[in-house]
Amino acid sequence: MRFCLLWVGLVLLQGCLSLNWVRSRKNEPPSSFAVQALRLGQSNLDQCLGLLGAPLLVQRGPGKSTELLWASGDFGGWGISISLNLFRFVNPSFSYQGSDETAQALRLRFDPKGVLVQKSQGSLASLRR
Amino acid sequence: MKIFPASRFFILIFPLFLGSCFINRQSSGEPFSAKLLRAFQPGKTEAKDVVAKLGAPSNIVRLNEGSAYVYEHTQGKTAGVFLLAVFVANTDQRADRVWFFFDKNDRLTHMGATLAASRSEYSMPWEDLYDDLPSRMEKGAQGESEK
Repeated sequence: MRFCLLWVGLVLLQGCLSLNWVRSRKNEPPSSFAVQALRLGQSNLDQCLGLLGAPLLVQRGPGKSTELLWASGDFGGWGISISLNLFRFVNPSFSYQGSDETAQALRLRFDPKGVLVQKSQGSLASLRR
Repeated sequence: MKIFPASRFFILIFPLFLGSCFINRQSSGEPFSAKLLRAFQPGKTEAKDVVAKLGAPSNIVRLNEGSAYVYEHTQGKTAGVFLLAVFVANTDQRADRVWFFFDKNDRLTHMGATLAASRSEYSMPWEDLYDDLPSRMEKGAQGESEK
């Protein structure tokens, strides 16, 4: 009897309770090897594009500078969802999805001659204009 | 009815396999190849040549002296499995992206390309997707890059 109840409980559980682990990753992160190879005042736009590939964003910087951003994202986490069908029109439910969000970025600033003058790393939100 | 322990165990875990798994692929933009990109030469190619071959760019950025066009093709692969009460899923999205930088006369000065869309994988959340990146980077380029 206890076994049957456990079996029925397991089957019913599928419909009303779920634990979720959902993750989403976007874009390959720039290589630390390539980033370390860049030298302020020496590296130029051609070298940076050759080492890092195409940036995610290009934007105008202060003065007449140009900024390029490489970024990658890793989003997601654990969650839980519970729903019950008690009676007609009575269907309480609860869901929670944790989100560990890390969108890391590398921003390179070039002067009008295309020479690297600044290198910044941090969250995409803090580096994007 | 008497049920043997092994059979009982099998019946107990059988609901685990009533769950489901799925895969999904999403893409946007037209893919482009490294061979096609080799046709563009800094100092020679003009903006109109790029547009003639690749069509309208995904975005245009006005810079202080000139402009930059970007073309993008993204591919995302999602895999998920639902076992009893646990659902796990992962999405891996990567892009083929190329930026063309033009001077104020619309002549190509620089270009940078990454061709990574084809490397997106069906995978689970605990997998390390970029474990092969360091070896590739030590060769000095991300994907296939063009100067």
